Amino acid sequence: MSYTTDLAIELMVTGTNAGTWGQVTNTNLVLLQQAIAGYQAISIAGGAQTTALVMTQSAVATARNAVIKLTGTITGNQIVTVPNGIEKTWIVSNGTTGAFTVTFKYASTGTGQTWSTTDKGIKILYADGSDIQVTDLSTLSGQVVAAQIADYAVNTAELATNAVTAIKITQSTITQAKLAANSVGANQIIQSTITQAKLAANSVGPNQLIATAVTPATYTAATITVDADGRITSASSGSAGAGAGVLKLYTSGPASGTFTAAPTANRLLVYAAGGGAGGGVNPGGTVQNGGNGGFGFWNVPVTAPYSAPYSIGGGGNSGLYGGQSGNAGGATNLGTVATANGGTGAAPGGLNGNAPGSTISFTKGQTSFFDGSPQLYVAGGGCSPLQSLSNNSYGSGSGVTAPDRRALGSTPGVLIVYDNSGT
Amino acid sequence: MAYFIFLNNQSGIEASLYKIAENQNDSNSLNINKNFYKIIEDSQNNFDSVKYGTKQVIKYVNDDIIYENASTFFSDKESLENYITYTKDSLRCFLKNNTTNIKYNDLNNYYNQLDSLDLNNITYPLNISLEQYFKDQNQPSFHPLQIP
Repeated sequence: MSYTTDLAIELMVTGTNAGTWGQVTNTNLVLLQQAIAGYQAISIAGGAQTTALVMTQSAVATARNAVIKLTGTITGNQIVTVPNGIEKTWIVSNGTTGAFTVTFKYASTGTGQTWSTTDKGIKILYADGSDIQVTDLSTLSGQVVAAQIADYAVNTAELATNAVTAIKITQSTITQAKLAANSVGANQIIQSTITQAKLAANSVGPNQLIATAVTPATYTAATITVDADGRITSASSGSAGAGAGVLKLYTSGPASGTFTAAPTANRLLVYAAGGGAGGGVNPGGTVQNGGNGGFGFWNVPVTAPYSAPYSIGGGGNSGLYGGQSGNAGGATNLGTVATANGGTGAAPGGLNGNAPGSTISFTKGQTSFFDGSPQLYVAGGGCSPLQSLSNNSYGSGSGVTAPDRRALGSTPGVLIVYDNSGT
Repeated sequence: MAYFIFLNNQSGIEASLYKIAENQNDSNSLNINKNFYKIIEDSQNNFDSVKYGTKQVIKYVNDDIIYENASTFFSDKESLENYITYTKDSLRCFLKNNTTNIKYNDLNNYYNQLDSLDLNNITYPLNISLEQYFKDQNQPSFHPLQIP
């Protein structure tokens, strides 16, 4: 008798099976049925072992089934073999329990196909004469495209942990509509994944920022604490510094009026000089300087709003002739804040005025700021001593002639006031 | 009554006279805070004597003014011109800062009066004060100490 090489079905040799042809043929049909549609559950329970499936001639056999389900609890790696060299297809289901591998292979050739310890799936296998090959999603050509996946067909249950990795997601596939609320949490975002380029304009609003303990408010002259991430973690208002000085009054004497500081000013800086006294003419005709006006600077707090009268002394008149004294300069004052007295006239020697707290004494040589025209100025007054009037008599007093010189007029007082209303 | 305004606390010290005022209105026009001055009332005659150059104030002692007789003359035109220049300097100081002062118009007119005075029409030596000269011409005058 002769048999097919793969399914071991008896061939009908010419001149044979006389009288049994029908029986043999029926047997062959049964075997074909088994190869095409046969299903058999085969237990491979137990420890590591090799289970041989057979292809028995002219009889139903385990290896001939179209579908084989391997069953049983396995406690070691399993090998299931089919006869070497046969060519056939199988659908093999790994229906075992137990975390061990199962390998389906030829009895002694090839490496076959192996289910991993956790793979309890079904494989479509075919034997090509040399080895057992697999037909599954990893070997099929073509692609699964979007149109082949129904909407909502892939849910969480279809995605194993770690099944979706970065390389499986292109940027354009993720849109806002595909991200459910709360689907992206802290575990889905690592610091390096968020860059400025990945944040659309206005994408970070109040809802995206974790609140700090800082009370929303406007802080002035604030003390602010910033942490290493640039967040403001505390803020408090401080006290404003003194306002900058703003010039409010700048006047020379003689003058008077009312000074009014800015409504918010609570400090004044005052420079005041009394008028200088006039020079006197001594009986012999020599000329005597009058006293300088006092000069002082006051840095004083005031209560806002501040307003007060002021007066600025004029310069003292000079003597006209021998024996005539100069007159006093006038005092300069601002309310009760500042007073710089005028100097006394020369008779024969004038006395300087005084200003409380002042030790400053100006000397001649500045350019005047009184009327804008350049002239010598003795701040605080005082008498510029002489103008030579050679060979001219100017006047007489007490019978004595002042032959050739007269005293010049003194300079008036000045009042300069700044307040702290600047910013 | 006239007023003589001295520096405070200068009793017995010469040359402490600051201003003179012919009456209360003139006194009020002065740019002074009266708290800082010794103000002594005296007669119109004494005021005129000082204004027209026949007396000068030496000092005050307590509430009394000590005067001394004086005479004034200008030996030549240049001497008078210098005095006028000096007086005009004082007037300019006042006019610059006191446009609202009640004496402003009077003193502004006096400044112009001095400015227009033809010194060539005066005979030298002039043996009276300039203020007395104007008075004799029936023109107003102001002593430099009257300028606020």
